[in-house]
Amino acid sequence: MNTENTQSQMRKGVLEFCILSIIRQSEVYPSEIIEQMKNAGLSILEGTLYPLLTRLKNAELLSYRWEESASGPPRKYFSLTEKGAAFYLELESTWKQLADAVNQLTQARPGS
Amino acid sequence: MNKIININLAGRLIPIDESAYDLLRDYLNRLKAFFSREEGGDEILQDMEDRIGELFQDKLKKNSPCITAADISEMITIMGSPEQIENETAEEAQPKSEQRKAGNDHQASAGRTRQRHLFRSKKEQMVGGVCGGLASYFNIDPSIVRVALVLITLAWGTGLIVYLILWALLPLAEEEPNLPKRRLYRNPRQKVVGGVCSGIAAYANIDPIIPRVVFAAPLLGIIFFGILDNGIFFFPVLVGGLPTLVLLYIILWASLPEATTVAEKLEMRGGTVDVQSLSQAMKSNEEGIVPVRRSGLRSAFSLLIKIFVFFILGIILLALAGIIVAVIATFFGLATTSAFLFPLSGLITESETQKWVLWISVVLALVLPFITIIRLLVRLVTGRKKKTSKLYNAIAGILFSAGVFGVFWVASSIGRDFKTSYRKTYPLSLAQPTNDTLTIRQMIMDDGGEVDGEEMGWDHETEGIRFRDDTTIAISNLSLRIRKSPDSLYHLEVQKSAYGKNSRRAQLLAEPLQFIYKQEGNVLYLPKDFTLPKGHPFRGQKMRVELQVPEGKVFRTEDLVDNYYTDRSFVVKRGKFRYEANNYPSWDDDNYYKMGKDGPVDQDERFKDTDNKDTTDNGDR
Repeated sequence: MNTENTQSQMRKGVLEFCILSIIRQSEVYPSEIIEQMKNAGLSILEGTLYPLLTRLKNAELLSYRWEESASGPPRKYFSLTEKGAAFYLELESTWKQLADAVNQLTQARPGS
Repeated sequence: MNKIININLAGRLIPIDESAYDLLRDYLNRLKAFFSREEGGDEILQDMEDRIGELFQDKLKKNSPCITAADISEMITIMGSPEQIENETAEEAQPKSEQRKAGNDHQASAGRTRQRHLFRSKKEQMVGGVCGGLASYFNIDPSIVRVALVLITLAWGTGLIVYLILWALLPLAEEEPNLPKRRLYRNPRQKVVGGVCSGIAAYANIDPIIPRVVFAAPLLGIIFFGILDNGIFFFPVLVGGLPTLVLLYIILWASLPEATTVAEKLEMRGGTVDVQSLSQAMKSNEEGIVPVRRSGLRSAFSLLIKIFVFFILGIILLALAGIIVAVIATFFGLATTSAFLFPLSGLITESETQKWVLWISVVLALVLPFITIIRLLVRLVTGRKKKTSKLYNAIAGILFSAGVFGVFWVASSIGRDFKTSYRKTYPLSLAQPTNDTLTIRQMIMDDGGEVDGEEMGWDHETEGIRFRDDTTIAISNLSLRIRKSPDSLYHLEVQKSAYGKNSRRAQLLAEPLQFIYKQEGNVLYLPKDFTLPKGHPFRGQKMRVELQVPEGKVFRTEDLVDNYYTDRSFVVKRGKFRYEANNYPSWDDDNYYKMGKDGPVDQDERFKDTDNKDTTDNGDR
C-alpha cells in the first residue's frame, strides 16, 4: 500500500459530498466549484470534477441551466434536484457520524 | 522555430504553437477515448474542453502571446491525465488491482487492470483482428505476429488454419486495454542505411550493432568467401540465398514508417504514450534521443559503409529485375532456351513495331499487377496503411491499361495476318521402286539438316514447335496422305501453304519452305518437320505430302510418327483463333498394304513372308 493511493481513496469518498454541499449553498458553475474547494484547502485534479458532475446529473441528483457569461461562452449552472437534496442529507448525517468517530479516534492518542 | 495556430476551443479563440497543439490534440484524443466508454462521455469532454479553454484564456490574459508546450504540461497537471482521473473517480473499489499490481507487474500506468483475455482486436484489424488480439495479449507489435503467421502459413498452410480457428473461437474485444504499445519503426536518428536496424534495436532495447551485424553477416561472409574462392565475388551475391535477408531489409524499409513524432518515438521504445511521458519526452527531446556525436573517423567509416551497402542494394535490385524478366519468360515456357526472347518474338510478330509493342505491353501488363500484389502483401503484413500517392496510382493505372491495350492491339494485328491463305502444290521427283513395294521411313536430321537414316533411337516428341538450336525453329506441321495414283506410277507431291495479311505476303511465307526428303532404292525417307527461314514468323505454315500409289502396287510404313496422318490448320476468323485437326487414314507400321480399286488393302501373313527377303534392312531391328 502506498500513501498516495490511500490518500486518493480518502479524497474520493468525500469528493461527491463536498461538491453537493457547494452546489446546495448556491447555484454554481464548475470553475466556481473548483475555486471554492481550493479556497477551502482541498485541491483536486480538475479533470475528476467533470465526470463526477455528469454522473450525478445522470443519476438525477443534479440539474443545470445555461447562463450567458460576460467573459466567454455560456456557462452551466448546477443546482440540486429534490432527489439530490435528500441524497445530500443522507450523506451529511453519515459524514457527521464518520467525522465524529474519526476525530474521537485520532484525538484519543495525542502522541501519534 | 514554431508555427502558431489559432484554434477554437469550446468557443474561445486560442493562439497555440504547433508543438503545444500536437500535445493538446493528443491529450484530448486520449480523454475522448477514455470517456467514450462512459455514458455522457461527450458531455464530460465538452465540459473539460470548456475548462481548458478557460485556463488558457487566463494564461493569455497574463500577457503570454500564445499557449506553449509548457502551458500544456501545466494544464495537464491541473486537469489530470485520463489514468489519474480514472484512479480518482472509478466507482468500484480497487484493492484487487492493488494486489495484482504489486504482485504481477510494475507498470507505470496505475489502476488499469483487467483480467487479460485473448480476444480479437477491433483496433488492429486487418482481416479478422486475430493477429491484433494476439499482439495485444503478448504486448508486441502486431506486425511481428503477422510476419510469424505468414511464415507458419508457408508450412503447408498451417498458419491459415490456425488463423481461421482463432477467428471462429475468439470473441471480438468489446473494450481494449491500452497497454503500453511497442511498435516497430524506422529510427531516423542513428541510422546508417534506412534506420531499420536501429529501429529494431530500439524496439528490442538492444544495441543497434546487433541487428546490423545480423543483417550484414551473410553479406560479408559471402563476399569474403567469394574472394577467397574464385574472385568473382558478386556471383554468389546474385545467385546465393542471401537475397532473403536483403529482401527482408528492403521490405521492412518500405513498410515501416519512420518514427518522426514524439509519440512515435515513445512507441518505438515501448513507453506508455500518455500525457506525462509525452511532455517529459518533449522536454528531454534534445538530450536523450539525440544521436551520439561521432568522431571524424567514425563518420567517415559510416559513410563508407553507406556507400558500400547502397552499392550492394543496387546490384541486388538489378538481380531482382532480372528474376522478374525470367519469371515472365517462364510464362511463355521458353526459359529453356538461352536466347529465349528473340526467336519467340520473331515467331509471333511480323514487324519490329509489333515485336516491341508486344514485349513492352506484356511487361507492363504483368509487372504492374505483380508489384501491386507485393505492395498489398506488405500492407497486410505490417498492418499499416501507407498512403500511395495519387500520381503513382494514376501512372500505374495508365501504364497497365496501355499494356493491356497494347497486347490486344498486337493480337488483333496478328489476327489480320491470318486473313488470307496461300497454297501451292509442287510435284517431287520419285524413282519407281524396283520390286513394286515402296517403304516409307522417318528421316532423322541432325542440326545441319544432314540425313541420318540409320539411327533409330530418336524421340517421338515432335509435336508442335521445336527449337533445333537457338535461332532455328522446326515445325512439325507436316502431314502424309496416301492415295491411289491416277496412272501406273508412284507419285510424290507436296503442298506448301501459309497465311498472310494479303496473298502476296502469304505466298512469300509459303514458297521458301523446304521439303527435305531422300530416296534410297525402295526406301523413301520423309522428314518429321521443316524449318522456317530466318526472320519468318509463324503464320500457319504447313506442308501436306501426298503419295500416290498405283493400283496393284504395295507400300509399307516404318516408324512414322502418329501425327503424320493429321492435317492441322490454324485459322483466325473474326478475331477467334481456331485450331483444326483433320485425320487421314493411318497405316500400321511394318504392315504391307496393296493398293486396290477402292484404296489400300491390308496384306495377309503369307504375302509378308514371301516378301521378307526384299526388306533385309528390316531384320536389324
